[in-house]
Formats: sequence, C-alpha cells, structure tokens
Amino acid sequence: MKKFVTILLALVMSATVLTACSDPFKEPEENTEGKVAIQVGVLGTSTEQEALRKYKSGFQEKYSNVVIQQVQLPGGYSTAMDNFVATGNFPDVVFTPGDQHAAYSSRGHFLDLRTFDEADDTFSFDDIYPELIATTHYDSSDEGIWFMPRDYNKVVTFVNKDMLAAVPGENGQMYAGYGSFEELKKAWNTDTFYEVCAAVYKVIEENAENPDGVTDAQKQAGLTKGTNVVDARYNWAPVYEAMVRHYGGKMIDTSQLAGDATDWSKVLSVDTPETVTAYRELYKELSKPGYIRQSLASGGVSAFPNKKAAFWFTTRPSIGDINSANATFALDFLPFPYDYAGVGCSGYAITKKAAERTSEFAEVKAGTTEKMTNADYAWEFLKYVVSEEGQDAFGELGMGVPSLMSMKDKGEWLKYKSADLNHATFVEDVDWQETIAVNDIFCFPATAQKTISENSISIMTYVVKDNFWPDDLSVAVTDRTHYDAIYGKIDQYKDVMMTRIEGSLNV
Amino acid sequence: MDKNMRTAQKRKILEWISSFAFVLPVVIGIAVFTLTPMISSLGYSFTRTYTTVAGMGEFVGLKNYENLFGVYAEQIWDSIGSTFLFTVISLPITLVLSFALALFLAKDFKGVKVFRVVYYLPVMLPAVVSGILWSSLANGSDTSALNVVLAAFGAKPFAFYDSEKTAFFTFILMGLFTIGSSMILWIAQIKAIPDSMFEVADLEGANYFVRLFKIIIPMCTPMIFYNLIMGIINSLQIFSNVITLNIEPAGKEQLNFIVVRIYDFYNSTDLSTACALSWVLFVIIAVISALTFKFNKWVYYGEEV
Repeated sequence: MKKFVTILLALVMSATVLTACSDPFKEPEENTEGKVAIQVGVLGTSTEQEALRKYKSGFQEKYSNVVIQQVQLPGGYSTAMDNFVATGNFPDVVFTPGDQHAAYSSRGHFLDLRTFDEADDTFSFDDIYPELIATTHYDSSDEGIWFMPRDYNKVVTFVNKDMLAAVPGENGQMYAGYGSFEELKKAWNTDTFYEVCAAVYKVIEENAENPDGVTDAQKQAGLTKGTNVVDARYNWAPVYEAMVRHYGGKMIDTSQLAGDATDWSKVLSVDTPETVTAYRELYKELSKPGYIRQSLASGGVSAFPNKKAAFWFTTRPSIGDINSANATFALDFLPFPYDYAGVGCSGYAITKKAAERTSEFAEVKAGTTEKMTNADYAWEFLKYVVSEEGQDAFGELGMGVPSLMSMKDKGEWLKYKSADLNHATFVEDVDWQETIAVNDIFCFPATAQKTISENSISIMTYVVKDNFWPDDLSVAVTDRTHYDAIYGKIDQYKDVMMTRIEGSLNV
Repeated sequence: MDKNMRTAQKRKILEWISSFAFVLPVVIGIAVFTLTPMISSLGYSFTRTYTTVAGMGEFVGLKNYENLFGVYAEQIWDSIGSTFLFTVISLPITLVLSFALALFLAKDFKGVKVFRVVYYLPVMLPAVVSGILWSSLANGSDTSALNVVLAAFGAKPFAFYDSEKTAFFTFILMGLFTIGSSMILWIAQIKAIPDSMFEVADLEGANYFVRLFKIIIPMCTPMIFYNLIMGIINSLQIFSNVITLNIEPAGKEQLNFIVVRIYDFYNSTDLSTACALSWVLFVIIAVISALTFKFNKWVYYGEEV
C-alpha cells in the first residue's frame, strides 16, 4: 500500500512538473507564413489580455497580411520593462500605464509618435482628449507623444444606489432627502456630497448603536456597523492631488521650476501654508466627521465592491473589481465632487527596436523604395486602437472609456451593464470642475520620483489621522507650534524626499 | 608492476574525473549565478548605471559609496541600526525557542510527528502568502483576525503593523512562526547524540539539567554555531518578509532594513547605488561572520584522534 501511494504521489508530482512545460498565457500558434508578425507586449491581467484579443481580431480582419503576436510582460510592468532594457529585446509595441512610461520614454526606448502623425494625413492627435496627450510627455518641458492613449480614465464617484435609496434626509425622503438618484445628480456638488455623507453616516451610526432597529432595506443594502461612507482612495495621486488643489494646495508646484537654478524644496510644496491648509480642510470635512476611515488605506481590499461603502472615488477600470466581487447592488456614477478631477490613461508605445526590424514580407512604403519597418506596421495597429472600431471593441469590455473625443456620446461603452447608467459622467465637462493630468511628478529627477510618490502617499495617511491635529483647528496654519505634530511628520517626509532629490543630482 | 601502477593511476584519474563531474554543476551554478552577478554588481557600484538604460554607465569611481555615507548617510545608518536591532533581538529569541521546542519534540511520544509537522508547516509558506496573511491577521483595524481574538477576551484593539510603535515588535513576533526550520536541525542533532552518554549519566545519577548542560548543549554546539551563522546572515539580509507586507506606511517605515533599502534604490532605477549598498552589506556580513568563526572555540567537534 505504501509503495502504491508513493508511486501515485510521484506520478502526480511528475504531472505537475510537466504542466510547467506549457505556457498557460501563450496564445495558440497561428500561421504567420507570408505575413508580417508584430509583437505586442501586454500585462498578464485578464483585462489586458482580453483587450488585446479584441484589437487583434479586428485589426487582422482589416490587415490580412499582418499578424499580431501577443507577448506577456512577465511579472510587474517595471520588472518586465527593465528585463527588456537589459536584454535589448523589446517587443515592437508595449502596453504602458500613463504614469509609468517616463522612465522608458525619457531614456529613448520608445518612438515619438509625432513623427508618424506628421507623415500620416489619415490621423490627428487632435481627435484625442488633450488632457490625455498631456500625460504622454515625460516631463513638463517635453513635447513628445510617447504612447497612444487608449482610454480616458477620469476619477469619478461610484455610487451604491441601494444604500442611498435606504438613507432618509431630514424631509423623510430617501437619497438623503433628494428623493431619487436623478434629483441627487442634478444637485451634485461638493456641498451636496458632504450633505449626503452626513446622512449616510448618521444611518450607519444609528444602526451600529441599535442593531434591532435596522430596516430590511438598510440591512439588505449593508448600512450596518463597519460600513464606510466613502472609500476615498485618498492615498492615490489622482484623488489626493485633486482634493488638495480643491482646497488651494499643491503637493508639487511646477511654477517653481527654473532650470538649473531650480530650488527643489520649493517645487516640492508639501509643506507650504496653502497645502497644509488643504490637508486641514480635508481632515475637517472628510476625516473628522468619520466619512473616511484611515484603515481603508492599508488593507488593499476595496470596501465599495464588497458593499462596505456608499461612495468610491475611482476610475472606470474599477468596474472590473466590482465584477470580480460578484457585487449585486445597484451601481451608478456621479462626478468627482471637487473642483478638480484627476485624469490619466494607459496605452501602447512603439519601441525603438521596432524601427530596426523589417519583415521579409513587408510591403514597400508608398512613394518610396523602402520597405515598411515593424514600427510602420505598429503605427497602423495603434491607429486601429484609437479608431472608432477599435475603441468600440475595447468598450465592449466595459472597463475603458474611449480616448477618442468623437465617441464621447456614442459607442458600446455607453451600453455596458445598462444604457440607463450615468456613463456620461466619465467624460462630460462639469461646469464647476477642471480636469487635471496628474503627471507633475515627472519634473523631478527620475531616481527620486518613486521616493516622492511614496512619501507623498505617507503624508496623506497622516493627514487623516486624529492624533496629528490639535482640537482647535481655527488657528492659522502658519503657527507651526500649534500644528507641531502634523508639521513634524510632513517635515520628516520632506527630508526623505529632498535627500533622494539631492542624491539623484549628486552624481 | 608497471602495469599495476598504470591501472591504479588510470583508476585514480577516472575517479578524479568522475568526482569533478559530480561537482561541476554546482561549480557552474556558483560561477554563473553567484560569482558573475557579484562581479557585475561590483562593477556597477563604481558607475552611474540605471535599470532603464541598457549596459554599464559611465565610471564614477567611489561616488556612489560617497553618496551612501554622505547625502544618504542618515537613512543608511538608520537602516543599519534597524537591521542590527532586529538581529540582536530576534536571533537569540529564535535560537532559544527553537532549541526548547526541539528538546521537547526530540522525545518519542505518541503524536510527536504531528507536532513536528505542525511547527514546520509555516516554514513551507511562500513569503508572498505569508506577507498577505500577516497583513490581514495583524493590522490595527477592529476586524483583523488578531484583534477579533483580543476582543473576544475583552481586550482593546492593538495597532500591530499599523503603528510606528508596534510594527517592529509585530514583525519579530511574525518571525517566530518560522522557528520550525531551526527546530528540525536541532532535533537531528539531539537525536544523533549517542545513547551511551545518557546511560552513563543515568548511572552517575545526573538529573535533567545536568544532562542538558553537560551533554546535550555541548554536543549540539556545532549546530548552535551553524544556526548562529545562518541566523546572522539571514537576519542581516531580511527582506522578502517586509516587501510582501501590505501595511500602513507608518508601520512599514519601521522595517527599513538594509536590503529593503537596496530594493528601494533598485526600484527607483538607481542600479549603481543599489549595488554599492549591496557591497557595503556584504562587507558587514563578511566581517561579522569572520569574527564569529574566529571566536568559535566553544564549538565541540568531537575528540581529535
């Protein structure tokens, strides 16, 4: 018996080992005979893989002489990219998040897409949201367009309508007194947001104190002890930068840039009176009343998809998290409730390597005797990605808003889940709000950017903590003694950031 | 005679070749995966090389080392301090506890194998899984597993990893769950002590403590030495348990060990500084290991014949 079990276990283990011989992420081989093969590197997430499959299928239908070959970026984005740098073996096209391209575009690994645009009458970058084009530069002085923005990711407010439908206002009507989502939508602004937060908080607190008095609708919606009012993601730059600006502050002040004479301690404006005032307002308005919870920043698990928050500040791709959580509540969207809203995107870049590769099956460039390089074909692919057809294919996945302005009010993305949802809020201009591309961090030396990003996040985690603020918040923030605890923390983080900036420059 | 000598010589050569063939894979492995990266990193540490730029950057001499003990000095000394503090606290606790556990589990009683497996299981958890697990078990929220247990006993929630005051202690506590790896080695060593020694001790009327201090511990000194050396090296290189933790910055900042700092430089694309700091750590470990070897007279390697 012992022998039998041993042999069986050995066989099972051998079979397990053999499974490693096949790559589960590798796409089935397809016939590339007589065709130009273009390699496109994408992340291993199901959304990214599915997005590329959609583009590939549509593109190959149009360009029967080209095959798109999917290359999975192993590990995290930067690990995979650093490996490509080390081996010099970049795919022709790589996926890039808008906030991570600078490290590679500034080092010459990507091609400037303006060159292709200038030689192509069928395309114009003017068709894409300008705030997205702003994210394609690697610093504030750069004008290059280093990747093709694929989607428009503006921070909005995800709303759990089941919760709001069980929250009465002082007039007895649900939706915190507004009666319906439509009415709330009409009245939506910063003040309305805080007003609804107060009503939701009141219900949660009452229900926590008196669990027997919870109505069925409130219980069903999750308005019980432990539920949060806002899953704010206040430790995420597109959210905190917009909030800080709303209250008159700025974490990074690019107006202080002065070339070689730049005083970096002024550019890093995390400790100016204006910015500290903004922190204080955030604390007063959101944290002190209990609308956001500090612990939400650590767990890594979002509360909203799990019916543990009424609001969520996030972008369209987060629908994927809601789907993953098999959420059953009624979802809808409202604008980000502050004067600024962070906007970003992801997209595809053509690598320098692509320009060095020419397929034996490549056609001759129109009007020349030269053969088309892989970069030329990659450009055709990128154009397809931002064509109405390509954007529609991506829109079917539900997790992306088209980067093409002409698709603001049309396309498959507006039908995802239900055409009745307030999809428009992802793109429409709000008269009291300005959209901002959160890419100021690129103004710092490359080797200091990560430290600045991480320490800015750390500051934000202290900004919402009770024990760093005095009871009397009416004293001017210029009185550092009165606010010594919070200034102490800010100074500590600023020192770390400044050290890294100095270290980066001292080479 | 000549023929016999030739055969003997041939056999010797064949033995030499076959023995060399056996060690060749290890030699190749060390050359390719240890020595080459070491030499490369030493080279990088004298240049200005970025992870985002192909090849070796320009030669800058000792600039990266100057930066480490100049611009970055405060942070680096802070990291060295944290790493040593962790080693000084955690290593003795780990050694003593794992030895005590081994003393208990080296006995033969019913179910002892189950206990051994249970204590060894946490060692088999991948660092990533362990990090995720501890992040949710020991965060400061009311709903974290450990705080739910504390609440059941009427205690107030404890901050664990969420506070700068308690994160270090929590990390040391977390490390104790992997004492199983040392424990297994202790058990092997204790079991290898000849029974005759204990029989003689019994005849002489020695009690448990005499047996422990006069037989077991002296006979285990080679393993104490091995665990000490490995413990020092592993503690000074502590890394994966930290980066896999998904905790508040307040807590994570307290776990600013040297290798975590190296990883931070590397992730900031600053390969040169990361390599320079790696070599600083290498020298520290080499010096401490050398000193430990130098003062190992207390280790009993058996009677010399």
